[in-house]
Amino acid sequence: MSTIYGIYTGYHSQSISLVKDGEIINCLEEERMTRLKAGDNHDCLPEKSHAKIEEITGLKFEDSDYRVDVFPSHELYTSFISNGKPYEIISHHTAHCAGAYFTSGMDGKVLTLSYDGGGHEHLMKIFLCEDGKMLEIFNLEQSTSGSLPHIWAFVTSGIMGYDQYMQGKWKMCKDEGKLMGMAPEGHYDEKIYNLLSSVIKYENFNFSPSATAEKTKFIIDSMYHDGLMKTQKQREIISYNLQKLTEDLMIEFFNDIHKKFPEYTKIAVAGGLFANVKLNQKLNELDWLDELFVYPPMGDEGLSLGAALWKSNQLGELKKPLKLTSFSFGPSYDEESIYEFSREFDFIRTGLDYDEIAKDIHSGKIIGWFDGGMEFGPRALGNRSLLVRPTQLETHKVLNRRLNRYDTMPFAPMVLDEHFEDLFTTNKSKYSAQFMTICYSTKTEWMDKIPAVVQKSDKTARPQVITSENNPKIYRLMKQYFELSSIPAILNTSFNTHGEPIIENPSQAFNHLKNKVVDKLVIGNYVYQNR
Amino acid sequence: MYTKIDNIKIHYDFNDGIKVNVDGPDNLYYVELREYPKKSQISKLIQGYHITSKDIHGQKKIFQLDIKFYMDFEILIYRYDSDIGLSLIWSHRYNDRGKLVNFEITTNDEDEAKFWMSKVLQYSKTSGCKPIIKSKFDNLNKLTPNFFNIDGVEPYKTYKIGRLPKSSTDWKTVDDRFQGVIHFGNWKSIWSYEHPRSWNELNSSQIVDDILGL
Repeated sequence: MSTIYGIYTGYHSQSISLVKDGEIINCLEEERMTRLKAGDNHDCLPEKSHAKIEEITGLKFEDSDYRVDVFPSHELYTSFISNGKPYEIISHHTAHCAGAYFTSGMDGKVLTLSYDGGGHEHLMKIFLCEDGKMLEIFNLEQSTSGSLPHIWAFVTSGIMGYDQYMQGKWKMCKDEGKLMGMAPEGHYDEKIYNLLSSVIKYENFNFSPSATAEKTKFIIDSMYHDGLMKTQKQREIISYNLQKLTEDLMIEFFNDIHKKFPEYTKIAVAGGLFANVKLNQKLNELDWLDELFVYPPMGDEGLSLGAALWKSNQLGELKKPLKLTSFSFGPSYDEESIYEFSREFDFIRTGLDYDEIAKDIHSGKIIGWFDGGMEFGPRALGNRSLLVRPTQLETHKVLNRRLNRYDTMPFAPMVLDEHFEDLFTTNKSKYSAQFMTICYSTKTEWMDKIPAVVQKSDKTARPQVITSENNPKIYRLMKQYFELSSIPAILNTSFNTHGEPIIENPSQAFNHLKNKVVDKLVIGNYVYQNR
Repeated sequence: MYTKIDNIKIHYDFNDGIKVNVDGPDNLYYVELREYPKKSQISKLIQGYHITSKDIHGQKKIFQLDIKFYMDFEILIYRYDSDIGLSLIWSHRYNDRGKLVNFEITTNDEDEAKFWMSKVLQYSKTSGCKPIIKSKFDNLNKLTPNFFNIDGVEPYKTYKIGRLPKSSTDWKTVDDRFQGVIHFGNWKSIWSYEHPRSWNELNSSQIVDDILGL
């Protein structure tokens, strides 16, 4: 039985993970420790996350049984923290796919696929997986193939124009979600669609031409000079057509996969492209697909875990995919340490009363919720979350104002497991929906009841299924709220303000209470509020 | 050198790396450099970005890459067509057959210069180019078949055969991550030709073979 550290030191979203005896122990992305979002802090090293996990576990990197790095690697750093002990480096997309497959909870035949802007030599890999074994059957070479994620990166960077240093006002690897959020407000425009599709095409398992990034930048800059991105409406149209192009190409690709491998009806995916929850919805709705699993840390932050799981499988310690109840593998704090943090502040502290918090939510208060380990991946899933009633349309504005955000995306709902099918039109891929990675269409009768968490144009939502097993405290709170409101959903957004990574420790949560970002803070088994 | 396509004038120069600029009515032109690895018909991206012939803030006017050794490359130039997007207007694959090619041999060792000249002649026989060979040894220069005055004539390509100071060729000191996948097409990691590497560690034969792709 072994301890395995996975490490990712590449261009962005650096992270470190620890797997022991086939179980995930800790995972931590560097941005949570540096307090600079990955998109704002390229080329850092996972120094702080590495130190934090060593502090939590007491296990030094060099004292672990195995150390696995992922390409592209900053080998000097890995070598340094290995302290002369051997380590191995595995392929970027193998790590993506191992992360997806070994956390998919899927039995039987599973096709695992990764697609991103390119990590090392490849843009994509496909593995056929069964009984804990992964067989690589396909890859897309970076130097000869096209990348849909690169179109997203460069349209994101250019769509809001450039600053005086010609840096995009929006940032790639950070603001793609905002671009996707604009899509439903646009409409199909043949000319824009054709402009974008001149940069990437799909046919017979090949995305082409290569140099998508460079060509996209050229097209976007040309459109900018042609005045095609001046107004918000124009930007929404570009976004709509980019989303449509992405969905069209990926659906065609998935259907080709199905033709070639018809016995594989369960698919696990990873890579930056699958942060696109609208695309995931379209894929999930394919008739032939039985289940889609989107690796919750789908971006490069998930590579360290993928590498450690891959090694654990190679050693025979991880024999089949794990079915997880949460991805809360980050630092957690006990009551005593939380209390120590609170002593720097002057708050009123009372015991947690679920009924009281449910009433607060029902009355429109914004509740900060800090509990257990921090989530690994881009979503706050009830451990570092803000909870708000979903019933008022103006909540979007109120929250944006309070959080100093400019989000165009609708906020997402947590939904009680037993009511999931009441609210949404399909019940497929519920396991993945526990991690808020797929959009679903909202049933007509619920659209007006939970407007704060439904996209106003396409009426989709990005639900997180809450069960009594995956988050018993939130489940209990939601049951109380349901009794009060007859609404089995609560708005959940990440506990952070504009430009800030999701909070990590109690001090950050207390500061947000002090600054009145939240009305009340539930942390552990206590409720804090300003005097 | 230049070529004209309708009202677009394309200048290209392979004498000090690869340089391209475009004069034309469009705001921007996209230039892409691709390499055909040996025995492959599928080209790989080396570098691509757009340039302008106008004064547009933040846009480059020249496409260039400091590759001075042999590479089977292709340059493609696209314009932006507001209806269809990318529109290829010109492509040029490196081919020095029948063209004047300049070979600058830089060494103080006459025997080495002589050896390198023999390699140049081997290259020119294969490629079909007309070599102009220059070294500091006039007696050797006169022995080459095309030793004549080319002042004012622009060669198709210049190859510099020699050693550079270690500091300028020690690529291992460069952090790969700052080259970036996105901005530079990751050309360092996909390069099929085994260059650049520390020339100080190569012998005479390896140096000339690397530079001329022999």
